[in-house]
Amino acid sequence: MAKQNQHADKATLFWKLAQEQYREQATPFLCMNLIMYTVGHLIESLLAAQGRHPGSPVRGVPHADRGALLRRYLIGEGMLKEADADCYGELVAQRDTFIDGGIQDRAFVEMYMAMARPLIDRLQTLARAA
Amino acid sequence: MANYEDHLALARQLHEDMKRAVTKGEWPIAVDAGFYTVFHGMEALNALECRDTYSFADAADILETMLEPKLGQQFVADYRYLFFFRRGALYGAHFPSGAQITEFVERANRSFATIQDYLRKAEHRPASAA
Repeated sequence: MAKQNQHADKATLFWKLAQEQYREQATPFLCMNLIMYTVGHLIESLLAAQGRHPGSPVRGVPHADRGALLRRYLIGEGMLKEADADCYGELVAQRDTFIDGGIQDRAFVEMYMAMARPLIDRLQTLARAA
Repeated sequence: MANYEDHLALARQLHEDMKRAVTKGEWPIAVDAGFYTVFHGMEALNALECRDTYSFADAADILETMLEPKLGQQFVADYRYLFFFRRGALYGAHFPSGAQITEFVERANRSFATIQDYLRKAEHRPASAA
């Protein structure tokens, strides 16, 4: 399992790439993913500081357990608010990597970035203080 | 859960993104684009036979039960490698070496070539793509 500083380093890397790709109007699918990976690593850096690491279903990825741990430990201890968990859940729900709703376009990724940026700002502030 | 044309269009776009990211040394984008190139290529094949994937575990099951006879054991081995490499590199603690990225890209290229070879056969195209 990754440690707090490893998650923080990856969050920094992914956020730099996300912003560059967003400015360059790169493939929206990839911009969306880089934004989500930034959010994920910031949350996991805060969880790792408390010795918590999300699990994954077999042959899956850890988004659901990350959300559960976020509510239990980061909101439970007052670091984040319910609205932050709702925002995380919405980012996961709207990140349609199986393109059930069609291929993401520029308008989608602008909406996705606008939704994620305030949460990323709050998580970065908390991560710097952790 | 999209149609054949959308899955294939996204796979082709992501394949170009992977190649471009490799030349720029942007390994996270190369890994993400490379994996999803193959994933959406597989989904294009599934769409030809009215199948959809609902989760990554579902994708693995469909691959082993339905696609392996068409694509071969090497493809299955490569997909498994790509899936778990992406999860470890993007979600976990690992920072892959240049040699590891080279191997990942080779496997992604080989897998996508296998999919394209299969799709080139006219009898495998849907009527809408003829």
